[in-house]
Parts: sequence; C-alpha cells; structure tokens
Amino acid sequence: MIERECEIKNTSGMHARPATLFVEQANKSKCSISVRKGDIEVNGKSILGVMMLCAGIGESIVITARGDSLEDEEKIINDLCNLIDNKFYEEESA
Amino acid sequence: MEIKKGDIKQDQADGISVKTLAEDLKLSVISGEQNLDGLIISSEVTKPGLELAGYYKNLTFDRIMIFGKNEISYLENISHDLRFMRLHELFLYHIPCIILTDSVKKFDDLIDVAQNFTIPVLYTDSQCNRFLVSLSNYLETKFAPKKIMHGTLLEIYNMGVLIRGESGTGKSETALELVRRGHCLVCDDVVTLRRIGNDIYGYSDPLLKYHIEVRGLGIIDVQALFGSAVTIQEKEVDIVIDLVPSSEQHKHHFDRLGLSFDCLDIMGVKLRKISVPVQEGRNISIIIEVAVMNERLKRQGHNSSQIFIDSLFKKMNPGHVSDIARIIPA
Repeated sequence: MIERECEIKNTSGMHARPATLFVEQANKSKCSISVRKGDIEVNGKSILGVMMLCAGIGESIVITARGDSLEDEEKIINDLCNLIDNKFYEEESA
Repeated sequence: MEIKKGDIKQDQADGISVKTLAEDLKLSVISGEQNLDGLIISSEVTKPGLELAGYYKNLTFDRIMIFGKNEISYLENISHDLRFMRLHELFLYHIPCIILTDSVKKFDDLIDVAQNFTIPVLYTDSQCNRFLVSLSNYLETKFAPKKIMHGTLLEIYNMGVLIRGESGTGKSETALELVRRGHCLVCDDVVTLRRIGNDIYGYSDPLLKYHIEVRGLGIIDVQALFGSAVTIQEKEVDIVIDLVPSSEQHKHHFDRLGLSFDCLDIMGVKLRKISVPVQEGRNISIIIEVAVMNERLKRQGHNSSQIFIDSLFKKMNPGHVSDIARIIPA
C-alpha cells in the first residue's frame, strides 16, 4: 500500500473535467485507489465520488493505492500525482 | 459505543449547540439565553436522582441533566441549605444544559444556582419518559458514528440492499435496471452509513442525491427520469451483496447450497453478506431480487436450502431424525 499527499494546483480544482481525467487514469490501473480529503474517503475510480470531495485549489488530498505489487502502486500514484501537479493540462488554455 | 476517529465527519465530532437542541426539540428557554452557544458533546443524559442524594461516584462530565417530577419533589423536600449544597456540587460537572420536564413548576432555587454556573435551563411540558425517548433518539442520530462506503444502496421489497463491488462491475447499471423494475434508489457510488443503536442506515450526500453515473451515458438524475416513487432518502441496510468480477472469482468461495452465513461488520454491526459472481450474460438484477426474496423467506422462517438438505437426509437415512444436517444456527 502506498499513500501520497498531493496539493491541487489548478484554479478550478477537481471539477468535472479534471475529475474525469483522474478517474480515467485511475481505472487504467489494477490497483484499488482511494482518495481522501479531510475525513471523507472515496473510491478513486468513481467519478461521482471524486467530484463529491469538492477539492479546490490549495487543498490537499491523500491518494492511496493498494495492489498486488509495489511497482504497480508506485506507477499509478506517480501518474495521478503528475496529473494533479500538471494542473490537469488545462491552465494554459484557460 | 466505540467511536473511531476516522469514521466520524468533523461536524459530528464537534457536538451540537444547546440552541440547536432547543430549536429542534421545541424546548422553551427559561433562563440563560446568553449561554445557548455551549456545545453538547455527549449523547449521554443523566436524571440526577442519586446525585441529588449525594452519590456522585458514576457521574461523568458534560452530560445533559433532566429534572422531572421526582427530582423536583426531592429538592422541595430537603432543607434549603442542603439543596443549595447539592445543586452546587452537581453543577460542577460541566453541564451543557438542564431540561425540566413533566410541566414541573419553575423552581427558583434551581434556576438561581444554574445561573451562577451559566447553565441554561430549558423546559418542556411533555412527560419525562416520553421526552427521554425522543431526546435519546435525537442525540443518537446526531452523534451517530459515520462511515463512507463505495457502493449502491437500494430498497428492494422493503429491504435495504447495499451492493458493493469494484468499479466497472456494473453496480450502477444493475441499480438502473432494478429501479426500472420498480425498486427504490437511495444512492449510488458514495453511500454514507451511520450507526443508530444496533442498526446501520445509509443515505446520500446532498450533492450526489439520486444521481447515477452510467458509462456511455454520463451522469443521470434518477428522480427526474423515473419520478419520486422510485427514490427514497434514507434506508436501514439489511443485506450486503458483493459483486465479484470474473478476474477475482478464483479467490472467492461461492455458496453452492445456500447454507453459509457470511457477515460483514460495519461499525460493529454484523450484516448478512452474499457474494455473487458477475459473468457476462448473467442477469445480476434478477439474482439480486431473488437473493432478497430468499432472505425475506428465511427471516419468515422458511429456509429452502435447509428444507431440501433435510429431505435428502431423510431419504438416505429412513427412520433417523435429521439433526446432523442442521448446520444453520438458530
């Protein structure tokens, strides 16, 4: 199990499009992914769940991956954190 | 009741203000209006009978105090000095508020001492025991431990059914089909569960309410599409059904006879759990409907699998009473 804290950097936060990208990425992995903000923890592969967190700019979320191997977990956590760190590739166009 | 930190949402952990309590239970405020912002942080309530007689051994801090007919009549019958002493001792226990019940007269000495300790005094004319029931129901609900679970909650034949399974096992599609067949949706994807007494209740986050995400269609509003007859706000969970995708099926043992009693522990409450393998072409919603009907039948005392096994035993051992075949605990 790997857990990593990540700060939301894009202005609009985890709204519809970013959440979709996040969930699509999460679904590529075999690991089970959960995302936590504060006391609320949801399944990282569920789009309604991720949107329900209402994670805005500057807020931190904790991503947890549980899978069969450490490499799998490491890979998906890196991918998801990259997505968040790169502001879901939307900042320039906005 | 044991409450784990992670299970509780922040707003519950902080407690509720005396003002909210008074408004929700329609209590009138006799004194201490300026102190109504105090927080109630415990769902425990005390009727201070023994304490008024001077026995404080089991009294804990931060409890609401109820003064009914008995307490007030005891106070009236002891000497003035003793009364002051007892009330002073009692009010040291950091009491968020005092509630007078049974239409007792507003006892001045009690109110004076309460004012010294800045404890608000509330009043209801309902009978003490009846009020205690509604108060503890109210507090149990407010202080209920909570947990968020990934799954779909439906009401099927009047039973609360929590369907769980990995993303992509078809929970939402199954929910849609069950709704189409006349069952009710409580919520999809993110279910908030709370424990009240020994029951688990599930409801939806207000934002998600009655929305389902179906791959290919996006987010749809079940209430707008199918009407208010197929949605329900909150439901007690009776059965948990786990959908197991084909990739995971080798790890599972599926019940072939219907005699096993798998349970899932949610916040200390054991719920009946049924694991159902998902295969292409298998109609999950019908299997779920039948599982629920079968569970209802069992609860009414008719256990089909056991009856079948019993008749098999009788046929193979004529003349014997079929005791050894009885696997199911009563």
